[in-house]
Amino acid sequence: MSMRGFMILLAVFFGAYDAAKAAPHGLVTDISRDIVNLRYDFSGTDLLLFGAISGAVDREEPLDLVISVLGPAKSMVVRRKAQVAGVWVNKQAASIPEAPGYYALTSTRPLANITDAKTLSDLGLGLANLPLSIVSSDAIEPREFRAGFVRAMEKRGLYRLDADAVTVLEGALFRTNIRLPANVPEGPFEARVVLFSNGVPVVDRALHIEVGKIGFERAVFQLAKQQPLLYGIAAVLLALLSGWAASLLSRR
Amino acid sequence: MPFYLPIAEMSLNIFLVIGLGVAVGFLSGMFGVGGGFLMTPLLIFSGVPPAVAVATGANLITASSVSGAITHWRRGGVDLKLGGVLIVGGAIGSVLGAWLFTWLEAIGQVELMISLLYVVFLGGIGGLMLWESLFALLRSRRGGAPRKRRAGRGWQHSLPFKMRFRKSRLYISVLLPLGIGAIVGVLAAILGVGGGFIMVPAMIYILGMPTNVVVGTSLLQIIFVTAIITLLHSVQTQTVDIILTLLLLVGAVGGAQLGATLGMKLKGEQLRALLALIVLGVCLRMGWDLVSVPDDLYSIMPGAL
Repeated sequence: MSMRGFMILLAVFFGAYDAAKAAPHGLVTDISRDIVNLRYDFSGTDLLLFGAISGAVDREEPLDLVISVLGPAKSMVVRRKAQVAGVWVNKQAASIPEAPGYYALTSTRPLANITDAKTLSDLGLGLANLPLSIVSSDAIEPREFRAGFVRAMEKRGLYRLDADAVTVLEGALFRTNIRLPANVPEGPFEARVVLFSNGVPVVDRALHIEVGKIGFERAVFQLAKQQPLLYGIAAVLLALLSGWAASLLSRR
Repeated sequence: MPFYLPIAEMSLNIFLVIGLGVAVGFLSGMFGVGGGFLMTPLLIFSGVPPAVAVATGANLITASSVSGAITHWRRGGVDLKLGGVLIVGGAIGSVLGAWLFTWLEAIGQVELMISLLYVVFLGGIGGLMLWESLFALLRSRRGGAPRKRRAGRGWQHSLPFKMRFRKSRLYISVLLPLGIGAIVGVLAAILGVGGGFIMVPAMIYILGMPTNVVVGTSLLQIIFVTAIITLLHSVQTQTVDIILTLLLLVGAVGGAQLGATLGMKLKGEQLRALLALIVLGVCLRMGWDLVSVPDDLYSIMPGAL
């Protein structure tokens, strides 16, 4: 018997054995809202991502969840300041053509305790595996620019790492909060829930979230972007009218 | 109470925004200045992106200059012909300024340029005002007569293309008001200011205009030039936030009333000394941010290289 044949036999045997012991794991996931509206009173929001691990759960088996939320990508420029004649001036620059505008990662335990770096990189999980390609014509240290970019995004609350913020109840029900700050970008978001069993990814589920302005804010934004001249004329007329109204008020 | 601004794409406390409007309106009512040179830095200090602060500042100044211009117009304090020339100059300057702004933004130096220009102009104007008002205060203590000012009779009269401005009783080269208008236009487009703080002294000391038409005519120019800048920024940088303009305006209208009332109770020299101190304060803060070690050497913004 060839080695390959033996492996298949082994896999079938263990597969059947596993199935007899426990049905393969499944995930049922949902999110409190899959549409987030940016209205005048929007000051950031928390999304509740929750679900259940299905299939018989062996208490001895180490199960872990890693949940990530990825926002729409946008081209960004990173600049590094240097001192010129006592003044801090932007010197070198690099661009990141497809920088995710939002990234949140949370898990049951710190990532390093769940699985190895290779698996994480294959799955594209974790800040270190974010697709941030640094493009520059200056002589720069790309890793430092990458770190500088991530730091700036973290400071804005747009990149968030929160190990062990996933709560698991009775080994089957789980939930976590995903914080979207007030400066969250607009567009499609993808939430990913990956279940690890003993460090091996067994289920990978995706959920979609749409973040967008609605109503008046949307109308204002769209006019500004799509009909900029009309928007400018409206802004000027508004200013002239309100200035005139103010002068009527103040003459009373 | 947070309030989401659709163009700035951020949330600011509504009371902070209205409060800013009140504070700047109060100062402008008290001192009779436009207040743009305070509004734009204060917006930047509160976290508004500089491009939005500048464009929205210009939009706000259009509104806040209208009522002043109407008042001066009724009093006959507007020289339409000279104002027209200043506007033409301002239009040329603002197109140049908006182009410069876009270019500076592309090379990542717009914040630096805004800060540098503010430090230079606020420092210069604030220093001069403080110097002059302190002298005036000292003189009034001693009871001496104020020095007479005379319009310059020098280089500005050897320029060609002379034109008569009846209302201002002037016969001067058209290049002078054109140039002044253009410089103010460039500054207004880059800094989000009206430019009255440059234009008024220039009109008095360089053109030799009678003071009763100076303020009205400069306000007329400011309305037109800031309107053009609002249009240019709307089209080029798309950073005019009309919601922010309206919120600031609500505060500014109220603040201006308060300021005007209180301003009448203070002496002119005291007022100028006070304004000079505020201007120097803003200047120092901006200057400090330029030379102090930044929290992080790296900064990010949307765009491409």
